[in-house]
Amino acid sequence: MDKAASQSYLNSHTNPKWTKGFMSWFMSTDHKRIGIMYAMAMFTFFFVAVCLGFVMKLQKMFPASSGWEIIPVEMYGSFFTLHAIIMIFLFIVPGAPAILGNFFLPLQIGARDVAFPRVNLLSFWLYLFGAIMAVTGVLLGGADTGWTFTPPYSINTQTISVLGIAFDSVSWMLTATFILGWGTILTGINFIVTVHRMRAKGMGYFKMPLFTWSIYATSWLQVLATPVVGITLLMIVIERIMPVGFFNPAKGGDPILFQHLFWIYSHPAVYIMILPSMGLVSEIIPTNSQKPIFGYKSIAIASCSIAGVGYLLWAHHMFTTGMSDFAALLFSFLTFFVAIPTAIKVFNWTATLYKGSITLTPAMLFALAFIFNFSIGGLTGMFLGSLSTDIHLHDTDFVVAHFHYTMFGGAAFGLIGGVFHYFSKMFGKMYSMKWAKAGFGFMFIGFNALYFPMLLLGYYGMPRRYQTYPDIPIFNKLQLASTIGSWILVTGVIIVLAVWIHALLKGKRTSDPNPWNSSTIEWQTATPPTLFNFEVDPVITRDPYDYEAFRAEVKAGTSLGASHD
Amino acid sequence: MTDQVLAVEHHHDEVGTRLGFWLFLYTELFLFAAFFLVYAVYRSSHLEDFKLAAENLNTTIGAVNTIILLTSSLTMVLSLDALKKGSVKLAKLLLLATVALGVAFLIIKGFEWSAKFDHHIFLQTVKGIAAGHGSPLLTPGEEMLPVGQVLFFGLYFVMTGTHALHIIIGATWMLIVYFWISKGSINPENHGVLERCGLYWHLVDVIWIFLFPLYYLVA
Amino acid sequence: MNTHEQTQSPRLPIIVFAALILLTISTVLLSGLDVGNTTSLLIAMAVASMKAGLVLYFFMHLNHEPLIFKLFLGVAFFTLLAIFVLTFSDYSFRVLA
Repeated sequence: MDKAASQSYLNSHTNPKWTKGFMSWFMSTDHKRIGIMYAMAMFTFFFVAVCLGFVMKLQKMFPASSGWEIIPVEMYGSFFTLHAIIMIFLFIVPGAPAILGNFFLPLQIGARDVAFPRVNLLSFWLYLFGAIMAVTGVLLGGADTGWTFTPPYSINTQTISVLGIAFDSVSWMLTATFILGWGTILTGINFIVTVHRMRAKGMGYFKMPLFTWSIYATSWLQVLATPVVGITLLMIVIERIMPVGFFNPAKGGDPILFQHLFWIYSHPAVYIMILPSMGLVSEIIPTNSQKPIFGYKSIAIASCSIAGVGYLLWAHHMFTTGMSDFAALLFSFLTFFVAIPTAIKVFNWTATLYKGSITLTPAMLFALAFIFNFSIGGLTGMFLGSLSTDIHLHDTDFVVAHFHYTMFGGAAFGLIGGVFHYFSKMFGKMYSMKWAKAGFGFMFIGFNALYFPMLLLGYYGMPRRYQTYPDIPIFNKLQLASTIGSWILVTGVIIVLAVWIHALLKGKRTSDPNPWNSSTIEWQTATPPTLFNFEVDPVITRDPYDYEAFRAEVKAGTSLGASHD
Repeated sequence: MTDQVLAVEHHHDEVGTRLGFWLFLYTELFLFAAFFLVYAVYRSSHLEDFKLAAENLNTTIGAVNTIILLTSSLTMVLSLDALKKGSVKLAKLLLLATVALGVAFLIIKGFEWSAKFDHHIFLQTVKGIAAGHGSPLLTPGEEMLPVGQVLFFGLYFVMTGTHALHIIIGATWMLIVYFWISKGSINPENHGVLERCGLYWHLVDVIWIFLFPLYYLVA
Repeated sequence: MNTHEQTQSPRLPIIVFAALILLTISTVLLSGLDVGNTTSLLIAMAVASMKAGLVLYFFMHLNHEPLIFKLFLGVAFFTLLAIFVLTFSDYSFRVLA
């Protein structure tokens, strides 16, 4: 092994043509650099979409009678569409796998890189290209279809460019989404092959860390679900430019069929969003409890069964569309099944805490908040999965609050916790604990203050996607509480992002390989990792969460990365 | 510095690459599966219209095209076998034959399509609906198609069109592979690319195997 | 890499090809039978599945691949099946107005 390979990956490069500066990142096939580039892009988009949400909440402070319009009524549709497209397609769907999956999946299985490093870079370029298309699409007129692009509205709607040019920006946005889809498909293929072919010596499937398991399950969903929505969105484009008929009732089409195809992807997509974060929680909790995770195998299998069952219940988004009663019953029944593996995970995490020596690091706080928020999100999902209650709650703020509890309070909290957990390993720098915890406090309180009132609002009948509402006292009070919650939440988000940026620029350098005393293998290599991740290809001899063996190793001065023969 | 790059690239896992390529093929399959699902749903609700519309398609032409594609799959298999055995010349010849058969398929498809255009079937699906009866684009006496047939032809054009696009991609790829074989970068020791190109071509064939009965035999 | 791993005589591909052509001809002939819509569709799909199976197994060399390739095919196949069956749990039970 030459000297360069034992240097930090931040100083050594994979592309001999570009050894310095921007291009040494942009052309790099190193999975760690790609993961960080994703992080930069994604958290930027995240912040933009948070701002859009903030403005929408500001609008919601004012009932119709007040006459206040922060966002004109005809622009409100574009606002929530853009908020959703950015949050879903540019942040939370690719989020955890692309950022932390890229960085830590090879490290966790003791590999030098992913199976197809160049395809990995291509995924990133596709992501970036699609993201730029989506953002320019907004400047060219945007889309007011909602992120679901439901026909016939999405076939007929025409938007006008801000520049005054006639431009089919809806088709443009649809194409952007298609391209983004290929980015995640290729990432998924890459990870599946990596897990199957590149595990270190001695690492059986049930010796893989749980984050790897969750990414593996996610990857299957990405591969098997994304193409369906990709072609379906293209069918809308075709229907817009060439007047053939697929979903337009005027031409005999069935718009409900579009919804089937759309949700065949987009329901599994919610598991694409949540599973990686579940995996991160499964890493953070045993580390900060200093004991083996309770029920390792059941969590690993639960990840796969969530992916499997999660593929079979898409039509519970469609109970009120007019599909057959039999299908509604069947999908409602299947929906309850997915609660089982999910609950198994929650029980296992709480059981891991029992008698553990718990350290409340920022990551741990986010992981605990994940369990709290996600339990609310999951249980309200059961309300919506029941046919009778869904008819009352469908298309109300209850639904909006429900999926924000799972996607934001769950998936995004998990991802942010994961970044705090792995920050020092990724960059070799440490952030301010105090400010990180403050950011968490604001985010957690603000989040619940924002979304809990929305559950109630929905219950009282406040419809979603409306710019305003009638002057009813209960609406006014809850909307005000919710808006104030959004201010606290945004403060928290800004603090968290500032903590990261500050740590990157001025944080204390650290080369401590394992600041949280974690037993998994990615912590047993240098901080930040070398170009090939491990100085010597590791040989795995123990279970990932075997803390007793881990403590013995530390005492004896051997670690996974070093044990080679 | 260059050797570290090589160290990463040199880890070359042929089975892993093939496994990844199969996964990619499944994404292609699911892409078409969405089309097939739309077809299945509309066929079940517009059965009579689908059967009437399918009578406009010529079964013989469809069958000939099926046989052409199956033959091209055979030449592809034989080409790979030949390359593995070291007969590079034969491999190149068979590969060119595969491309030629693919082009023949496209030409026949093109004639079929243009015949449909001549009979204004495409326009009927298009403007007939938009403008109602008496559209200026239709010759007098031509009637607008029933919605079931509009759906049929919409699906027919888009599904066979997407399939044709895959044929074009496959044929282009084969020409590139041909060039690489001539250059020697693909050779009996290193035939992975030809193998994956073949897998792609066979998948395109498999999709046609299902398209053929659904469009040409349902009448 | 072992170049002589899977070289086979051209006989097998040609036999498979002959079977494929036979199946194509028979599916065209069978489509002429007047056996009702559902049955004729089922026959056509059954023949097509056989042909696809032959291409997958022999032409795409699944017969030489490790077990994992076949498992992946199984996953993809059952997911496809689930999509179709579950979608038709709606369309087969629609009460049309």
